Amino acid sequence: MNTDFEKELRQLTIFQNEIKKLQTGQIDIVTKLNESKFVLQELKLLPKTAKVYQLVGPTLLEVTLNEAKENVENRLDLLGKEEKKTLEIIKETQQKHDKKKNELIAFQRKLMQPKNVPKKK
Amino acid sequence: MTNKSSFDLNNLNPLQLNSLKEQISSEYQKYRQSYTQLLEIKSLYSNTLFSLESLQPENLNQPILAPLTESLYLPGKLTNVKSVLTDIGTNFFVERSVEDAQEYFKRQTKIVEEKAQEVLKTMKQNEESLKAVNTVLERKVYQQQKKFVGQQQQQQQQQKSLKKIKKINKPFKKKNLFF
Repeated sequence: MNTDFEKELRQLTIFQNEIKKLQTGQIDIVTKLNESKFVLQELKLLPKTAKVYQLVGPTLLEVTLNEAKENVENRLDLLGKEEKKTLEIIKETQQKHDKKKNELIAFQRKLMQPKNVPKKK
Repeated sequence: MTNKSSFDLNNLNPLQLNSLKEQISSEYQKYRQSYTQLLEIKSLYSNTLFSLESLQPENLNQPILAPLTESLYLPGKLTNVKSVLTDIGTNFFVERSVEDAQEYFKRQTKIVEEKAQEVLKTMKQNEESLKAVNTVLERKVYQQQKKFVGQQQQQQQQQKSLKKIKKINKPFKKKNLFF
């Protein structure tokens, strides 16, 4: 019985670690998202005659304002989708984790009961 | 983030209060980190504003030392005092006039200042909740200690009374024999 309990406990800790990793990944995505929103805001404030350059590797390329806006908007879309995905995965793993926890608690109660029964007799 | 408002601190035992305390202080550290980061960014912006001031039309063709690497500089002449490239993030740069760039950096410093003030607010709230947790924790520990001391005293009294009863019981046995 005890080894089964240990196995379940290990599963629980695995779930916890997964959730932590996903949450840190989520924080990264959110910061990138905020940065891109900020860039888009700045680009919108620019007059149409402004020159915009994009750093691609070691080269600085001139891009049109519309191209730059499209670029950033696409990036925002992708990041938003990624964020939703990771949120869903976090929810799922959290549900699995809570289920395991309840199972473990029920398991613990079962382990405790046989000790109580002889006293009642 | 803080779930403290949803339950009463008094319902927690000292162990739980301790873990809550650790949680709050780690949050505080994080807030402090972001606050110092924001202040650094703010000073960076003020430095850029300062260097932008030297890009005046009267400084055209002045000799400058242009950095090639961190320790290698090239002598040159200042040829462009009208436009600069400003980094707006995610590898995008915008060419602006010196005045526009100055305005841009002033705007940025405002935004960063506002964010820093927000972080400061949450830090203060954090401090207050930490104080509250600490006072409840101290009170509980004091109560526990009092209980413990009281229990010890009770035990000592019980032992004393037991000894007295033993002393009284012994002579009674002898008297019964006579009756």
